[in-house]
Amino acid sequence: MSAKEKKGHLHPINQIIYQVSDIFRRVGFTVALGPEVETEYYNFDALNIPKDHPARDIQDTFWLKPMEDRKLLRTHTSPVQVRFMEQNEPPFKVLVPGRVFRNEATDATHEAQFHQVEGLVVGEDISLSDLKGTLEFFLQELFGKETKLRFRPGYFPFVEPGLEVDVSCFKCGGKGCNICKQTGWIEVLGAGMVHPNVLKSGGIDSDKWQGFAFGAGIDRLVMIRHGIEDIRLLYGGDIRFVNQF
Amino acid sequence: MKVSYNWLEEYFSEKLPRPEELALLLNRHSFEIDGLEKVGDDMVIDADVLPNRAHDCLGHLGLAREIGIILDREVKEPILPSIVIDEKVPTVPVSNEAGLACKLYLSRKIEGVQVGMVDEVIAQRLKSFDQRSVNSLVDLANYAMFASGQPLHIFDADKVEGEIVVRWAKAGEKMITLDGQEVELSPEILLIADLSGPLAIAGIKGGKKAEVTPETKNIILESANFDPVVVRRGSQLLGIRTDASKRFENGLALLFARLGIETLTALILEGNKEVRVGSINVLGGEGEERVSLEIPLEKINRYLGFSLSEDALIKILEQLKFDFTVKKDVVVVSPPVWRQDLKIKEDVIEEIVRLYGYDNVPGKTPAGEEVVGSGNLFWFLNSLRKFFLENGFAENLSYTFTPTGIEEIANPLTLDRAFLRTDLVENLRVKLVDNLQHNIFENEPVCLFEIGNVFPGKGEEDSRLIFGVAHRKLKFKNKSLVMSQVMEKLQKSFSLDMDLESQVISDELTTILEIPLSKFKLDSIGDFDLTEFLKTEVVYSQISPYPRVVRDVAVFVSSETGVEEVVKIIRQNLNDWVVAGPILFDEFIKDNQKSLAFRIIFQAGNKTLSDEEVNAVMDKVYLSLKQAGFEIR
Repeated sequence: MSAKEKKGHLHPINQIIYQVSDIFRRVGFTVALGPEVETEYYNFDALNIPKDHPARDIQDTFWLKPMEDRKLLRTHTSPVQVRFMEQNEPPFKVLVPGRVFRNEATDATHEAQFHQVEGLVVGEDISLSDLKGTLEFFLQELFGKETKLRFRPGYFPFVEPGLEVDVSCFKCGGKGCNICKQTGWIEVLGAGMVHPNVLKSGGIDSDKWQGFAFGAGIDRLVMIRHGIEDIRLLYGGDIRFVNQF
Repeated sequence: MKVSYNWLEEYFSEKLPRPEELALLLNRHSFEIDGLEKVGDDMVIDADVLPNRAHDCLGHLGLAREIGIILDREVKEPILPSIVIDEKVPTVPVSNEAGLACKLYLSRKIEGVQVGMVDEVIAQRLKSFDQRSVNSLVDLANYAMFASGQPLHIFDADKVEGEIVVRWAKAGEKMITLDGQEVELSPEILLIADLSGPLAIAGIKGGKKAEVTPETKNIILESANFDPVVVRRGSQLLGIRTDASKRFENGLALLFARLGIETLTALILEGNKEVRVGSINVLGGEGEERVSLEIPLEKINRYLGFSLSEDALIKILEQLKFDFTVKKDVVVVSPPVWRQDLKIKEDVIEEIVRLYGYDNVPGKTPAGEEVVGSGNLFWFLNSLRKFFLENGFAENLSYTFTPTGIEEIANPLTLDRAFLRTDLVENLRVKLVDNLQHNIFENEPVCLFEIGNVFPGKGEEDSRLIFGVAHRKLKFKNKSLVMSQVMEKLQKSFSLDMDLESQVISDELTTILEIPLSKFKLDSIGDFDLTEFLKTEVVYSQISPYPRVVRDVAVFVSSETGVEEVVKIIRQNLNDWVVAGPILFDEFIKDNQKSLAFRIIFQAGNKTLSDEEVNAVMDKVYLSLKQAGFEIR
């Protein structure tokens, strides 16, 4: 290795975001981005999370001053789903990577800012089978062909039905290790069929169109993939960290 | 919620599958099981009941019903013993001033109770659900809730003055809770009160005033249905979250109120046959509207993406215990009244596929034309990243939060994270300087770039690129040569129509340039393939907090000797203290001999390395090099 003609280092978060986006680009997904400061409407109401609903508890929110403006730091990339639907006619396939925020005390595994990737597919007959096949394709492209998937019931107000998706542990191959807490499985995705109320928010006729959506937290995947024990290293700006990648 | 395996089994006439198998089935069809724990001869199952099922599955009956559906077995619905009502026990007068905030209020007076201890099985079960034992009556009320899912409350009847009123709190009104906390109430908070003041915060917490104590003789049972939004707001305002509020805020079905009060009465009678039980006073209606949903069969199959035969569908709907009729191409479904979460067609489809099993859904492989990135901001950003990576820059990601700024967070985590960044400059400058000490060579610059959103004004959000270079010492008129070269290339590669030089911010050590992404033309998108920069297999090695030790070694070798050969010999002698190197940093030929100089960085993860320790390693390196016939310079 020479001290000269050095190449740079891509941040491991953007490595995964690039990989995911590229996998989906190859099967027809376009990529959309959206603002990090959102309105309460796009972050919650439009996504079938009404005021005073327990579903809001799942996401502790940072609000901006003055509170009367009801502006917040987006708690997920899902608002971009609605913004995209408002501006595009179905059918479409879109992928949304981005930075999100949660008002949670920070420690080695929790940060108040992190990254998500979100997908949305709408068409006349986009079904649960499409959801399953698409996620199988994606996760096997990302983690390897031998990866097994497990779909479980889940609850997210913006989808119906809602699912959680586990992959066979990509560290131990499913035998059980400390990464997968001896279960052989790692939870990587939330997904589901888009709730008709969300399609309506996006100005789409839910009798004619249907589709699926999914989302994954990126930072945790980065930590598991590279054995990083403290999430704060990701935002520390230390070249001894980033230059390892 | 923690549940008892033995208790669940009481709802079935046959034995249940083993706890581990049951956990797998629930995982697959209902909700995640967080753990199994053996307690005595019982197994405690920790079920992570999803929020949409909190109204019917936060009790053993509800969970047993769910298991009955999965296993296709009959559930023994609780048969309540016929209770002999003592007509001499007066009903408690109750009035409701809060309208629909309290849809139903059932109460019953019981006289002649004795407060003591509950029986051992109940005590043991409550303990395994992490419940604190208070006294027999309070414990039984708790137990009845874990049975039915309906929160219940007991007042000491002799401490209640006059009639009971369900009403909104007055501003400034105060109450002391059962655990001795004084809480200040406000008009959004719903109360159960008597003549002289609050007895309980409706659906959230009981008050000290009518508390059941060892001396209590006569009691009033309360089993009510409070509005979920009212309970949720109250619970948030007061910062009090209880087992009761958790259940109410998810909207319980009205029918649970009667089940709850009868269950509790039966439990009290079981412990003491001598008590005199009054009749139930009903305030509000118990009738419930039942949902009926018309779902075209075509819709079900289009949603699932495969064809479910009519027979299979009928079998599933029967197993779900839904009332239904299949008319030509349409199925009309009425879910049980306690399933308050099933309101639209899609909810019913979820029930069907949950039972059918997601594992059994066939997957359709996605098909679609590859999308060209042109004109797309995201792919453009990757072409920018590629440019900087090829020029030796490392990517930085910094925090959006800053100690000062314009956009302010109303509820920040800490004061130094109370604002949103207005630009990327200050952070990059700090990181550039901090990292100077981490470079391996003194004359090597630190080169960082970042792409991120900033918030330069009220309501403004702007995406920016920043890049910068730090040197230990800037030569040539305080300018970075590296920076000038990169700027020139950037201007050419992206046909930037702006004067970059005038925007540069520099000081003694750093040279930085920040550019709004709006200055770039998206259609001039270049190569965005970052594959060569993906290091997916890298296992991160921890950064040691201990100081590093730098050693150089230079050797004369014959001009034919390859660098690899020398590196190999050096490597053979190194141990795991080495965090970088050997890196070739100097090479020249003199008198037909080649000189090669390498740098090695030592750093231990658990201690400060001494010179002697490092020298011992280096001595081995020197020796091996000499033995190979090389001359150490």
